[in-house]
Amino acid sequence: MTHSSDSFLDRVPSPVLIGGSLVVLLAVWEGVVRAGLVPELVLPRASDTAVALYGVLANLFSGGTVWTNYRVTLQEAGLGLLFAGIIGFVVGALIAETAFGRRVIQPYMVALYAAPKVALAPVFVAWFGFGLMPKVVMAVTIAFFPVMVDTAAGLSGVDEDADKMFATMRANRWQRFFLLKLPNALPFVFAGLKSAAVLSLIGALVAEFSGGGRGIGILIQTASLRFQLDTVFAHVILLSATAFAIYWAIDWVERRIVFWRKAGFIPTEA
Amino acid sequence: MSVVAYPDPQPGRDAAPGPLIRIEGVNRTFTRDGKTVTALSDVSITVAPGEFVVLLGPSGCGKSTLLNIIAGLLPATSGLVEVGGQPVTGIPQQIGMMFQKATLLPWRTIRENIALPVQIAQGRKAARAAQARVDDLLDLVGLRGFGDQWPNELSGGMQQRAAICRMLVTNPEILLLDEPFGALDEFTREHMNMQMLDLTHRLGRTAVLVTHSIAEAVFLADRIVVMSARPGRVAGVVDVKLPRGRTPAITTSPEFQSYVEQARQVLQDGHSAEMTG
Ligand SMILES: Nc1ncnc2c1ncn2[C@@H]1O[C@H](COP(=O)(O)OP(=O)(O)O)[C@@H](O)[C@H]1O
Ligand SMILES: [Mg+2]
Repeated sequence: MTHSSDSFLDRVPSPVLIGGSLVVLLAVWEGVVRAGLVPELVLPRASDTAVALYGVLANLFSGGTVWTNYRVTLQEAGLGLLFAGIIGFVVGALIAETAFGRRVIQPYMVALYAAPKVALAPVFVAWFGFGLMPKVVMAVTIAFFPVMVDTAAGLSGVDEDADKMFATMRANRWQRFFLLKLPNALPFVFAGLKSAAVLSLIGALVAEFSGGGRGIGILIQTASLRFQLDTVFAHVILLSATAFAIYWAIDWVERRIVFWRKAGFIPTEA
Repeated sequence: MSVVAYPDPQPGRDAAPGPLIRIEGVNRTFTRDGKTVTALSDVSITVAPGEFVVLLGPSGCGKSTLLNIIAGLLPATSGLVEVGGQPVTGIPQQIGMMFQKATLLPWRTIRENIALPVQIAQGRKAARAAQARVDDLLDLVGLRGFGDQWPNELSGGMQQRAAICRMLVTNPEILLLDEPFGALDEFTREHMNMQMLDLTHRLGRTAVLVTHSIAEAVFLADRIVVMSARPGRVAGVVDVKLPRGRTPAITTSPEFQSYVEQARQVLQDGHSAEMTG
């Protein structure tokens, strides 16, 4: 040991560290279950989960049941994200830019934010049936909040001097919005979209749990009723990877649109 | 260095040589959390065309407030504010402004940043048509060749030079400068001050600059308006009769030192008045 800030872990390359710790984690998992410390009904073996995951992926890529259901969940989450993005942006902009938004819409949004929205899933099923609709509505309901909040924060968080500068240039309201506030808010909007991507998938799943029809949520439910926890785990891993991929894709787009962010300079942020 | 040809910004002004800026009996109060602060109390100043006036005073004495009132960014609570003989209601057309922060937009190139006021006033097409003027301005401040860079690729001093270009691109008659080089290191700052002085005189602009540095005030000013705080008011005026075309060498001259002394005295008197009154 030399210095606390220069610890051994800081000198190990990231891939080695993550790969190594994963191997250890899997080995412990496998060992604990094999040794009978945890019953297999509670925790499936790591090796069984791996086999189940292989089965799930093979089925997915050969266009089997997993694919038909995966496609449905993906569609729900995708549409959820799309509408969450649009609604979140518009409502966020209204709150940041208009007295009506600030005084009338905002209080309702605060109340809705505090509400446990997943509890509404059965309600949406009752309203919209067992098809795509209740799932998308659920996904939008929980996913649009971060987009709305971040958009409003980004639009309002314009540097005071930049705002004064625009005033001295006699910019009108629209010019201020499109030339100053909107570009300034973009990094925030993208941050909101990334959160929304993850939440949208969760919303779709929750609605599938209570609404039936098709989707990975249904496969998870069926497997768990049959105590096939290895299959449940395999589906969870598949969905995590999916969420990660969507998150990464949004990040990729962001780095191209918000190019000036690379240099780490944004006027509103200290 | 190329010369930027500017039309006379106010053709009739020699015919009617009144003050360009007239402030008379201006008061400004702020109310926050039920408490009222008097930022400006009975302030009167006039600025003639072509004059370089410096507002000097400790922080909190209302310098920025006064500048913002002239710029039409902030209304006076009471009193008369005129620019070009007209009462200030909105932002007067004749003004260009600069702050301590360059406030360049990081998503626009230097060139696009400088053309921004043109785009706002006359649209995208006019902004594109103004590119020759932008190039001249870049030359004028020694930024030739930097037009296509991004703001964060430039040093603080270069960013402020770009801000100068942006201020000048619409050809304003009055330059309002709120500690424009306050965030720069001393060497860059001295250089920028000299450049600003030279530019203002060469282009025949009128300038009101805010600072809390006595030496800077004497170096730049035709007239120093010394202000003191609580409430913000004019403590006195120092006419600086040093010749134009000043360089940093002048700061060691006895005349320069005597003006510094005078300004310091007025500041001190204002301060003791504040203590006793
Ligand atoms: N928007 C505001 N709200 C409340 N008080 C303000 C505001 N702007 C300025 N003041 C007060 O007015 C006084 C003068 O401020 P300012 O003009 O910024 O001083 P200076 O630029 O000379 O440092 C200070 O006491 C400051 O706190
Ligand atoms: Mg100030």
